[in-house]
Amino acid sequence: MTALLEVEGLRVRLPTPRGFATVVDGIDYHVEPAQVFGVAGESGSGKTMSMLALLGLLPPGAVVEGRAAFGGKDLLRLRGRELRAVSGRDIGMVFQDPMTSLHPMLTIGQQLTEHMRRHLGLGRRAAGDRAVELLDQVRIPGPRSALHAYPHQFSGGMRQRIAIAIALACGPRLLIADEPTTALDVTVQAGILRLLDRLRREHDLSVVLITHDLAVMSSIADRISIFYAGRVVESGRRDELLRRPRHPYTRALLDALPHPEAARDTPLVAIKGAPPSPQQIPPGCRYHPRCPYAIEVCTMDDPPLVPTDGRRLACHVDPFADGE
Amino acid sequence: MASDNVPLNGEGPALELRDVEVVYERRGRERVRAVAGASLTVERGQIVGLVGESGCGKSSLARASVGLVPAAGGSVLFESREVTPLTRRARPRELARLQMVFQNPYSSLNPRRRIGSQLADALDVLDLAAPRERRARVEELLDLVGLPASAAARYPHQFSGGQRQRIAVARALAADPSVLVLDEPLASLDASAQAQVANLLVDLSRRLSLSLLLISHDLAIVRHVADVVSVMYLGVMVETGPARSLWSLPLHPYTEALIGAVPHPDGSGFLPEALPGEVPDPAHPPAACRFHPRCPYAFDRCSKETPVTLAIESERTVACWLQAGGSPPARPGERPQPLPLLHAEE
Amino acid sequence: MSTLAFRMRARRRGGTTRPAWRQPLAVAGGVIAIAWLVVAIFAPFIAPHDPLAQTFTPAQSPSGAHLFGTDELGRDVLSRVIYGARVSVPIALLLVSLAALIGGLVGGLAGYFRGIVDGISMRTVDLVFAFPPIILAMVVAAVLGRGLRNAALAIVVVAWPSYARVVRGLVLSVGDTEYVESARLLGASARRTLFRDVLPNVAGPVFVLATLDLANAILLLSGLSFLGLGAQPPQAEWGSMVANGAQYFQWWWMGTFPGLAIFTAVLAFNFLGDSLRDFFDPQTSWGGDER
Repeated sequence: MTALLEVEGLRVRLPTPRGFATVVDGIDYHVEPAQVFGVAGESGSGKTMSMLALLGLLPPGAVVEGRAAFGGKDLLRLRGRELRAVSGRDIGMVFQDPMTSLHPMLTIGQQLTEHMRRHLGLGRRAAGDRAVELLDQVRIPGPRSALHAYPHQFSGGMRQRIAIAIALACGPRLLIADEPTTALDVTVQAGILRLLDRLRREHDLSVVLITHDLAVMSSIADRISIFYAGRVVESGRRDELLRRPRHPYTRALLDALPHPEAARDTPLVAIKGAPPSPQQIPPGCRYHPRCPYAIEVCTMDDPPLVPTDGRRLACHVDPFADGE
Repeated sequence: MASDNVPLNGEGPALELRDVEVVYERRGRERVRAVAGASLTVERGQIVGLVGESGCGKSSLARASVGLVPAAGGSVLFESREVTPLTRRARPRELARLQMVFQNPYSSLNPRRRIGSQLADALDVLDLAAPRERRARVEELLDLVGLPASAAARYPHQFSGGQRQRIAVARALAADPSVLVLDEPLASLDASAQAQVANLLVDLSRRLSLSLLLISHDLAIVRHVADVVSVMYLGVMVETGPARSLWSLPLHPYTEALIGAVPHPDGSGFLPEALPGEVPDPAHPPAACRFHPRCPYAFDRCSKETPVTLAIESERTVACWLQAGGSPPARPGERPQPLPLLHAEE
Repeated sequence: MSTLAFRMRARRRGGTTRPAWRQPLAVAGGVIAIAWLVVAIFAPFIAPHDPLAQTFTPAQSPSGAHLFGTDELGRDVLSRVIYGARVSVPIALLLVSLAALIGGLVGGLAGYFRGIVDGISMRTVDLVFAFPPIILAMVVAAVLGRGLRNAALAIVVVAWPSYARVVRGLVLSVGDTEYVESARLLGASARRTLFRDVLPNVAGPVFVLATLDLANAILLLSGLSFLGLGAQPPQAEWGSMVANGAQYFQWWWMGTFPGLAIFTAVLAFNFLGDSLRDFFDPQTSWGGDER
């Protein structure tokens, strides 16, 4: 199977008052057709920036290096109109907050048809029909009347569904969803996860799911990369990674979560400290100041991401190698 | 910390809400009963979780329980004393030991004032520390929530979300409270920061004999933190019980739905169940049982009569016609069809 | 995509804040404004001649002897422009401070007490806003009588309502923030939170408004003088000099140089105000630094 999106050596540097800060530092991944690729990590780990880089949405002055092959083109080399032609049509984007990602003064219909008419060249009627179809697809009740409604008339969950419909308007092959369920109730989150799962199965949509919540990841991601301070520390298949996490950070992220099936009251285990800021990346392994397993070599050498037992892992110690 | 000797002034529970109603009236709009008669008790030293979807009235109840909004009906008692709504005057001193922490740690700290000055506010207003001791007390408070003393000289924007939430907790602790009401303190945080703050709350509660009313939409994390959990739907309590038994054996269909919607981080690919429909507009609540339009087990009685709150076993209560038969508690889904009961009544 | 553009701007502001002094417009505005202040203070030392002395050949075009030429009565235009700064700049400063004080007080009371106090003061504000400022200022100045002091008073009458409205809005919105509620729950009275938490957050925007308003005040004052309602001859004032110059069109320097003085002063305070707005913007100086 050939990858839909293949990213190599992605590096993003942002200008700050005190010089450049490297927020994404050499990341490789690929997204396969009809799969959900998960990008996990704490806020500030560079997961959002690595996606915005692909779409040319970084703040002015940002420097991007690397390669991102998508549909025979390198997204990082495209500029202006060319990039918009690809990203507007073949890549859809959904943000965390459905309150701010929809335009409050335009009807749902206007927001849905705008892109279709521009990128697909559809007429008013054809675009309207397609809009109804899309709203039906994301399970908005009464799609025809919803076209004339404004965002504030919908609940948060419904707004996120509408945002997804807008992202799907031009029939993209890739959907990038940045924390799409973080602002929602669990009951509503479950609905959105089921929707993404169905889109993947029925419409062969590939999804990049960015979230800090490994439980969300566990329900629909096929493969997962764990980001820490601009690097990938572990990546692999969902079941491998979440059942037998090998990197201490992956393990720590899992231990911090409440486990619904835990029989006894296992306490939540918090990770000490906070992730480093991009201006103060520690030497050696970036995680070592917070890692209970760190040894001397961790403070000096940055471990490379190497294939290890059907996954890729960047850890000198590999404390969970023997299964445990 | 002068907290190991919590004075038990007055009898009764730390915080008691009895049939509280919160009504919002706006000119030109309909009256909205955001809380429609909800009762809840927080015993001394206990952590009570209040869970429900957004729009269920849990934040309104939290605000009413500290007097930020007046209760339109029912009563709010803090250590057997009436909690009066806030006016322009200073809050009565007796109520200072009832404090609140807000959801958004970005808006709950004054961006223009140093952390130390904001923490010292309560010490100054309530005269809890002499001016020369304030600095030491501020450092002590920061230490309690796991922040360095140097934090006092910094501004809120220099901290991460989790750190700000801990500062907000420290500010509430400055008043030497016996009850903390926390409105979604974990919702805006990352999983790891969430665990840090959750553990901190449990630790503080045990160490300082603090009673906590923890409001959250996430039953999974509340289960780990709370002793007792109340589940709220559209302005009313539908179920209350010890966290453990409520999780392992939910009696109300809504509780069951909340638990079913929690994703499992086990790599199994388990897709959580979505509860169909939406929380109805509180201005037009469904008749009788407010949950019946979304309930998978609803039968005709549910749309005709409001279920009464029943005591099940010793510590649990539930408001559901499915549990009204006097039979032993069971999951709503495992219960045989309740039709005989209905016939018996009609 | 417009919403996305908005998100990106917010992100950029949060990420890379440039200090106000690194912005060229802010620097230009600051330099010009300070220059005018210096000119106003040290006018007697800077001006080459007495602004009122009618000692030179009338209507000379600009030359080495008279950089800005002389007017129809033989007065040195450069000296008159320099002395004009002594009228416009300090009076503008004074009346803007007065307007901000009155407006801030009314707005603060309206926002703090709400209810009927709010209703009455805001309807008054609406009333003032219903008139075009220059017309209202003209009416007031005409009623009070000609003269610089009355013109300044007229401008105060026109200018205070915008402060009242801004301060009221801010007091209302800051008063409802969670940090104010937290302070109230800790036992602070409404008055204490007003001074400790609310007003410091109101000060920034009011300061910006006042800086921008300085430009308006200079313009209004010159306008009233131009119409003959402000400064009276023979006092050197920019607006009346422009009016005078307009009568002698063939001697372009008489109106052009005071006009340029008005133009640069107004532009400088506008630049300065805009830069201050960015500086006080919560996004840049103290908000949104999420990590």
